[in-house]
Amino acid sequence: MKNLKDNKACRILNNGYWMVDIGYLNISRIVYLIFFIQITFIFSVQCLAEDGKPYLESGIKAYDKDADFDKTITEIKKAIQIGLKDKSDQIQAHLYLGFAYIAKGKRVDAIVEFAKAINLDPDTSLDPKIYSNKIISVFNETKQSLVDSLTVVSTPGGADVFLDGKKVGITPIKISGVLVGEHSLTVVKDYYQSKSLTVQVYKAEENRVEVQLDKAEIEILLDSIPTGSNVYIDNNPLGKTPLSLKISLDKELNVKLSKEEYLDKELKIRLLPNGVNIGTDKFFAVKDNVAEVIAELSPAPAPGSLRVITSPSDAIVYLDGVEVGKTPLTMPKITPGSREIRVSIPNFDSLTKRISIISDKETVIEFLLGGIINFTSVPANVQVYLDGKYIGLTPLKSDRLPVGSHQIRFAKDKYKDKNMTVILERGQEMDVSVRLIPQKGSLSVSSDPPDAEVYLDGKLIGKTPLVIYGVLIGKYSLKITKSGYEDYNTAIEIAENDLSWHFVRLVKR
Amino acid sequence: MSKQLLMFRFQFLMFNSQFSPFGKWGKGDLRIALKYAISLLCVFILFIGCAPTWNGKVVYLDDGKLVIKPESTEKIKSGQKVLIYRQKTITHPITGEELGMIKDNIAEVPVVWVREKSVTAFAEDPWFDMMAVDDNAKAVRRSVKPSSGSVIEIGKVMDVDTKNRTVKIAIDQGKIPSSTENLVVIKYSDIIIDPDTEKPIALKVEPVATIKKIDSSLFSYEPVNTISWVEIDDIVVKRDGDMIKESIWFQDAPDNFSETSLFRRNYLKAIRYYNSQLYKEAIVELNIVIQSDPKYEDTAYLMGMSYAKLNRDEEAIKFLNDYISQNKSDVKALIILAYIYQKQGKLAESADIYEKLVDLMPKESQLWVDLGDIYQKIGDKNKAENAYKKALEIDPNNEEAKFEFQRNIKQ
Repeated sequence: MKNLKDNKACRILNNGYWMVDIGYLNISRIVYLIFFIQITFIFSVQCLAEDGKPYLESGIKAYDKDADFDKTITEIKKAIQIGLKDKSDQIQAHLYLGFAYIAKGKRVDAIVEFAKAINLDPDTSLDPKIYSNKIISVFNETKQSLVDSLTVVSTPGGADVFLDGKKVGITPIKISGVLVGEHSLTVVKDYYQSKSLTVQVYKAEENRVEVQLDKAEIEILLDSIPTGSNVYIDNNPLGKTPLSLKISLDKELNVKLSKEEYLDKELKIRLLPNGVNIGTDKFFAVKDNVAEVIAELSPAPAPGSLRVITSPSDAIVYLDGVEVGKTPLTMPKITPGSREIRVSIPNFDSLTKRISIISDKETVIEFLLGGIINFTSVPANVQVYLDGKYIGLTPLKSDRLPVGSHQIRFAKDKYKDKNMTVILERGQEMDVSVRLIPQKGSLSVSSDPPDAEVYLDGKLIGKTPLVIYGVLIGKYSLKITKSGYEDYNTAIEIAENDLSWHFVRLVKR
Repeated sequence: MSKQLLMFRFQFLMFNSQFSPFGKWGKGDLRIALKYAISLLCVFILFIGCAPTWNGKVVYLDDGKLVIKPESTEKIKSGQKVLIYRQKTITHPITGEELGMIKDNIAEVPVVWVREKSVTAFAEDPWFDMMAVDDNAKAVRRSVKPSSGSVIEIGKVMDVDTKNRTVKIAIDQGKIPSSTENLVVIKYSDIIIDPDTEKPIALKVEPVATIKKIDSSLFSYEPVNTISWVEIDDIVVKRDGDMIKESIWFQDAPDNFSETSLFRRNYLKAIRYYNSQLYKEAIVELNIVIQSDPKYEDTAYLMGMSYAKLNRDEEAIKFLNDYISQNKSDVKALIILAYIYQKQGKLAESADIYEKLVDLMPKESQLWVDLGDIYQKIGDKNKAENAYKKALEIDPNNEEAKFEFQRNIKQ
C-alpha cells in the first residue's frame, strides 16, 4: 500500500510541469533563472560526455588540499558541463563551486551556486563545525531567501501529505523549509479520493491550503462459495455472484445471498478503517480501492414439509409474509429453519406463529381462530340467537366465532327473554350460562263439596281445596271429578304473576 | 169494661161513617137510627158469645202485609179480623209521673195466613202506612172470606245455566207434583226476628222466577223481574189457590235458620260473576254480603281478587289483608297479595309474604327460589343465597336453585 502511494506520488510529480516566472528582479528569481539555464546545460552536456565525476573529484581535491580555488572553479565547472550522474555529486559540485567563489570573494556567484544546491535538495545543509562562519552565513542567507513554510489542513484530517511527490507528514501540518515557488501537493487518505493540487509558496506570506476530501467509492468484488448465488440488496434482486458492488464509508449494504439447496446468507457489508466487514469478525482488505469479498454458503439441510390446518378452514396462509394458499394447506418442500406463519380470515381473526421446520419431517401446525361459546341454560332447550340469527337449542356449543362483541338472545316459550352482550377473546372457550325466569302464575281450585280430584291437562294434581304455586302461563284444561257428581270441565288461562282461582260447585248426578 | 167498649165503638162508628154497612148516616132519620141500634146490639151480643179473642204484636210490615206475633195461635183463623192499636203512656209534663194509658186504634185488618209462629194480615192504604212495628194487635169478632191456597216446597235448584236460562232441579222424594204449573223458585229475602227472644220467627219469601219443565229435572226459567235471578240452592215451590198471585209471603223460620242464608245467594252470584270475569258486578254482590257479615266465608278474599283483576291494587291489598288477618294460613290469598306487591315494586312486602308462604307450603321449593329472586332484586345476597339453599334442601334437583346457588358462590 505504501509503495502504491509512493508510486502514485511519483506519477503525479512526473505529470506536473515546471513554470518559471522571470518577471521579478530579486535574488531568488535570478537564482532561479540561472538554475534553469544550468539544468538545460546539464542535459545537453550529458548528451555529449559520459561522466564529469573525475573533474569534480579533481576540483574538490584542489579546494580541500591545494586551496587552488581557480582550479577548483575550472574543474567543477567542467564536471558540471560534462554532467554528473548522482544527485549528491551535483549538489557537492555546486557547494564546492560556492565555497571556491566565497574564497575568491565572489559572494554573488557563491549564492547562485548554493541556491542550485538547495534547489536540488532543499534539505541540503552545512555542518557549522566543519565550515567556516563565512560559508555558513552565506549558505544560510541563500537558504533563507529560498524557503518558507506551507500549512496544509484537510477535512477530514489525518491525511497523508505529499509535497512534490515526497511524503511530508499527516494533516494538519505546517511544512517548513519549502522552497518558494510552485509545488505539487497531494493529500491522500484511505477511502477518500486523493486530491492533488498545485500550490504557490510565497516568501513571507501565510501559505495555507485547505483541502476538502471526498469519500471514495470502494469496489467490492463479491463472490460466493459456491458461486452463482442470487444476490439481493434490501430484498431487491441484483444478479448472481460474482458481481461488483460499490460502497463508501459510513454506508451499509444489506445483502442476501440465496442459492437453491443452500441456506440463505445475510451479509451486512460495511467499510471500516481496517477493511470490509460483512458482519463477522473477518475483514477483507481493500487494495486499490477494491476489496474482494467471498462469502461461503452453508449447504441447506433436506427440506421439511409443512401442513397448516385452521379451524375454521379457508384461512389465507402467509409464509414469511408471502401468501401461499388457503387452509387446509400442505407445502411439501420448505427449507428447514424458523418460519413465520400467519393465517387470516378477514373480519374474523388473524394469528401469527413462529415455527421450526425440520428436515425430512412434516410439521403440522393448527390454528384455532376466533373462539367458541358454550351455551347452557336453566331450563334446557332454550332457543339461542347469536347476533340475531337462530343457532339452536341449549345446551349448545357454537362453531368457531369471530373475536369481539356478540349479541346473544335466549328465548323460550313461557319464559322471559334474556339478552346479553359478550366479548369473545381469541382462543377463548367461553361458557355462557343463563337462567331464564319462567312466566308463572298460580292455580287455586276449591269445590263444593271439597275433596274432588283436580286434573290439569289430564294430569291429576291433587284434591280440592288445592293451591298449586308456580304454574307456567298459558291455557290449560281443568277437570274436577268426584264420584257421585258430574265432572266439571273448563278451559283456564294462567297469567303471569296472577292467581287463577276457581270455585266449582259440583252437581250431583 | 164492656160499657166503655160500647161507647168507644159507638163513637168510632159516628166518626168513621165509611165503616157503616149502611152508608152515610141519615140526618134526622131516627127510625132508621133506632133500627140500626137494635141490630147493632144484636150483633154485639152475638159476638160476645162466640168470637175468639187473642192478642199479638206487629213484628214486620211489607208490601201491604203485616206480620203479627200472636201470644198463641190456637184460636186464630184465616179471615178473622184483627184490631191494630197503639198504646201510649200519658206522663205529667212537669213531674214526669205516669198518669195513665191511651189506646189509639188504627185499623181492623183481616188475617190471611196463619202459621205456627206468626200470623200475616193484610192492610190497605192509608191504614197500612199508619201502622208500625210494635203496634198491638187484638182479634175482634169479625171475619171476612178466608184466603185459601198453599205453598209446597218440592225441591232445590242444583245447577243454573244463565246462558240458556235453564235450571236443574232436584225434586224431593215423594214430592213430584202432578203438574208442573205454578212452580216458582223462591228466595228468602228477609228474616223476621222475635223482639222478645231475638230469634227468627218468620222468613219473608219472594218468588224469583217462574219455571217450566223441559224434561225430568231440567226446567226453563223466567225471572220475575229484572233484578231477580235464580241461584243454586234456591228452593222450588208449587203454589196453588190464592197463593199463586202473591208477590211476597211469610213463613215460619226453622229453629236452626241462619241469617247467612239470606246473602249466600249474593255470595254465590258473586262467584258466578267472578268466574265470568264480571268483576265489577261481583264486587256489587260482595258488598251486599260484606254489609251483612264482613267475615262471611272468603268474601273479603273474593273482593280482593276482584279488585286485583280490575287493577285496583290498593283496594285489593286492603281486602286481602283483612282476609289474611282472619285466615292467617290461607295460601291463595297470600300468593295473590305477594303478586300484587311484586307488581307494585314493593319487594320487601312481597318478601315478607313469601316468608309466610314458605312456612305454610314447606314442600314447595319453587317458593324459596322466587323468594331468593326477590332478595336478589332487593340486593340482599345473603338472604338470597340462603333461600336458594333452602330450595335445594327441599328439592336437590331444582335446577333453578342450583343455578342461582352456584352463581352466588362464584360471585
